[in-house]
Amino acid sequence: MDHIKLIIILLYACLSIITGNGDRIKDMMFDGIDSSVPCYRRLNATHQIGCSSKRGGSTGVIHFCETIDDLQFILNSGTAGPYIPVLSTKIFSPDIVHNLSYSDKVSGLIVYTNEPVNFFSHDEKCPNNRFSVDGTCKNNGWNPWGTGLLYVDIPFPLFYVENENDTQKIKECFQTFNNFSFDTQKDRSLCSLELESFMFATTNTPTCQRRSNIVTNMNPVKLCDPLGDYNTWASLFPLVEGSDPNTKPINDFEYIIIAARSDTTSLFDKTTGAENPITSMVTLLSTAKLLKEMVGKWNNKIKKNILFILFTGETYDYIGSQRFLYDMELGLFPVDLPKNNTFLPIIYPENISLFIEISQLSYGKDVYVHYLEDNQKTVATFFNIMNSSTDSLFLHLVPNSLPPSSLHTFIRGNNSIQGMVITNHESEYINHYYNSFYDTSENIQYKYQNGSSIPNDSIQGNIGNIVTVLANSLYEEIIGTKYNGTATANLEMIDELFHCYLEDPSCKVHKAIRKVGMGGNILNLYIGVDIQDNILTDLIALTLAWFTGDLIEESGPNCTNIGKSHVFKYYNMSSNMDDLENKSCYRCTLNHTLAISPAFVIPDYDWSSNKYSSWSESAWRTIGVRIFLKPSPAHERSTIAIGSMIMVLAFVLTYFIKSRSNVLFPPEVFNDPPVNC
Amino acid sequence: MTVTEFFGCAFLAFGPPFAMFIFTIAQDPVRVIILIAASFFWLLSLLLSSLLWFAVVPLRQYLIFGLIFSVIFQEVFRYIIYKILRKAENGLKKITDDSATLIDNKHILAYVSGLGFAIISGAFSLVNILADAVGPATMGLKAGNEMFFLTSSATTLCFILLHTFWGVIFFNGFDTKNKLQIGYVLVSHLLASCLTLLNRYHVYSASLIPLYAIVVLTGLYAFKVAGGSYNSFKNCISLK
Repeated sequence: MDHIKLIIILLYACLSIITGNGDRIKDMMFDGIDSSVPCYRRLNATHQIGCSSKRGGSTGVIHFCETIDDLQFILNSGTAGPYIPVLSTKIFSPDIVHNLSYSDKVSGLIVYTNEPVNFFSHDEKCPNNRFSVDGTCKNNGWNPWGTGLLYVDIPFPLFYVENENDTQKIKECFQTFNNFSFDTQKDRSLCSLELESFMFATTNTPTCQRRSNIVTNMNPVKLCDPLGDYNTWASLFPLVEGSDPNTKPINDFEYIIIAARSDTTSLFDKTTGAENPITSMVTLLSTAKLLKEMVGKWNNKIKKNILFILFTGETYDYIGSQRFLYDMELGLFPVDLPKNNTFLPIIYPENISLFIEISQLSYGKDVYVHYLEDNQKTVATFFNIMNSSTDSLFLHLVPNSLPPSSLHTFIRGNNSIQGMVITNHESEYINHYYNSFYDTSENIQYKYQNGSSIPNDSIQGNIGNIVTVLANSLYEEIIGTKYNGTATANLEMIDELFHCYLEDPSCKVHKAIRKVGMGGNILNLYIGVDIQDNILTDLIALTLAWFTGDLIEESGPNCTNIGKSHVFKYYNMSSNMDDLENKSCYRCTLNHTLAISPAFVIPDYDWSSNKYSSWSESAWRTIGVRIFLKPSPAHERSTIAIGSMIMVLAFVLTYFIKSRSNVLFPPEVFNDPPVNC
Repeated sequence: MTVTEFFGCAFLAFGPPFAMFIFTIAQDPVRVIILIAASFFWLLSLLLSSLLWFAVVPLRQYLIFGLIFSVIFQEVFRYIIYKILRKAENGLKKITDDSATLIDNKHILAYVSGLGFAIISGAFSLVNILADAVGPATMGLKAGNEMFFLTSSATTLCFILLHTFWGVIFFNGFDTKNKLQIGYVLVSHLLASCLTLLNRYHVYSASLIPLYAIVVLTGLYAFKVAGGSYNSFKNCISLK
């Protein structure tokens, strides 16, 4: 026993020693800029876009530019290159990036925010044009403020510094060490930056996929991953009748799709996406909730059903909708089962009678309904229903027009589907910050009301009006009669949903759907790569499940899918967001479908056909920005000179002493005392 | 980038001991073994010093406490290796090729073990710094200035030379029961170590100049102890 005790004590002693962390000189030499977000490299079938640093990081001398002239100054007469200019978003432009690409005096670029800008969008003027219906992007394009920089191959690393303190840190270092007597800059130590964002992939997706799959060793290196995530969908009525486990598929439904996108992007790894796509997502979720309250239970007289779908990856050439349609055309939706199976009805594109997409919305009473062909009766009929059920909105029908939307994919499919897009704009985006991190709550003038009464002329009120109109019209479309109940959009819920996505993921709704501990960082709406789960997708899915699910019993341990037919999903959730502890069991029709482009699924896909989206994102190992002091070349030279001189001198001296040691240290002469014989 | 700085500093600190190793140690395997053995004993002293520092929690932040005990431990272990070498002389006689010089001239063993102490202590004090010097950066962003690496290397060189000299004086002190020599080693070691405490004020000249004065003084003392004199020095020069 004593031995064991001793061993345990020794073990603890060892552990306590191991946990010690030494201070390194390094900590004094480098200072991390932690709030920096990089620009990644992405690839499609033909090109690479985005940025990458050198392997191990690109370094350069800081030059804090207040104006364009500061930048020109170092380009013309900087002596201590390469430099890393630090620019505000106000002066950052594609022209600058273009100019710097050809300069060997610049090895990277930092962007920071100091004042609001009027427009900031790096998507193209005609977003997703190559995968849209021909001729739908006219004149100035849908996004006239778009610079297209997101799709440019930038030959140096580019970072955005979010935190003002970090910007200040860079500025102070620049003032202390760099910002004087520029002629002698190269003779002194200079404050510099190291930008590390080395991207493994190059050239294009097929090349990178081929290189990733070379079987040269047991541990192949993955150079890039396809962009991918999950589309979320739920149906208004269950696709089956009866209750678990004795369900029967309902095969004669006609479907209306209500769709919205759930992703955005940005030049940097930071998204906000208030107007695009959060307004659309919130409208879709609220419509689903309101409609569920209106229609009640299904009876066999109802022959129409609604699919609520949130497509993801739409920013990158409609990844989600392309895959969705691909699955549908092959008979793989909702599940990969034979056509007349006993579990679920298989839904084909021809079962879809109408496609309604909710696109960007904002504060303002004008709502535009875009559709493509003149002779689309269904669309016209539905528009008339909508128009007749509102007096609070001004609905405008815009024929022969279709802004970038998932509907493009469905129109380009084998069976053209009739559909319309509901937006806030007629011929060009109202949003000045499309797909950028400036698309914040200020952009849509959203203010969290936190339970207090919501003014009707706010963004929440406006979205509420749209939701009410949409739900009323859909009710009439599927039931056949006008809705004469009193239910209207729940403005408080709309307020909460905006709060969840724009400000605080640990909000009441997310607590109600039993997802807690989300932390305070707003969620990233970038689609991400297929191997990494996106938290946001789960959150939206559960919210949609909560809104469209049937409350069947008290919550309890039986509320699971174990032992059931998997036609439904069962979740324990709060019945009300104001009373989180009161839980119930919800039976939901929610499900996911994979949103990875068919290009990565079809065997021997011909990349040059350009039929499907081919975006992939490069892999990387470390990302980071550090500030440090670069020694002057003069100092470096003197150090090596002193070192070498001392060493040579030491060699000469030691050899000299060694060869003459018998003279230098004469052996001791022992004066032996006379020997007594 | 500052790979140049790395090599400059490495040459400065480790050039002289490397030269001494090449010309005076490398030709005799027994000397190499003794050098390594001496280094090992210095490491043992470092282990004990660090254990003491680790155990006495309340005094951890006082550098001077660890410093003084570290000096004492080093000198204790110098005494231990002295004892062991003197005991091992008979054995060494049998295996070495030129027993005449190695054993008869007692200063050689003293010099070799001193250099062993020197090299390992130099390595331990500078390697961490050199490792960080390889990157693109130099000191001065948060504290210190760009002379930091150069002065660190110079200080290390200083201690490498001192350890070699101390070895010679210390061994002779015990051989001849000369308390002055033993005392000198202890006191100068303490003094030199305490001088490095001034480095925290980043006035490197304040520590470097006295340190090199001590090096010169100790060097001359060791020269005398090893049997050198002004006359022998003159002979050495003039024989050229």
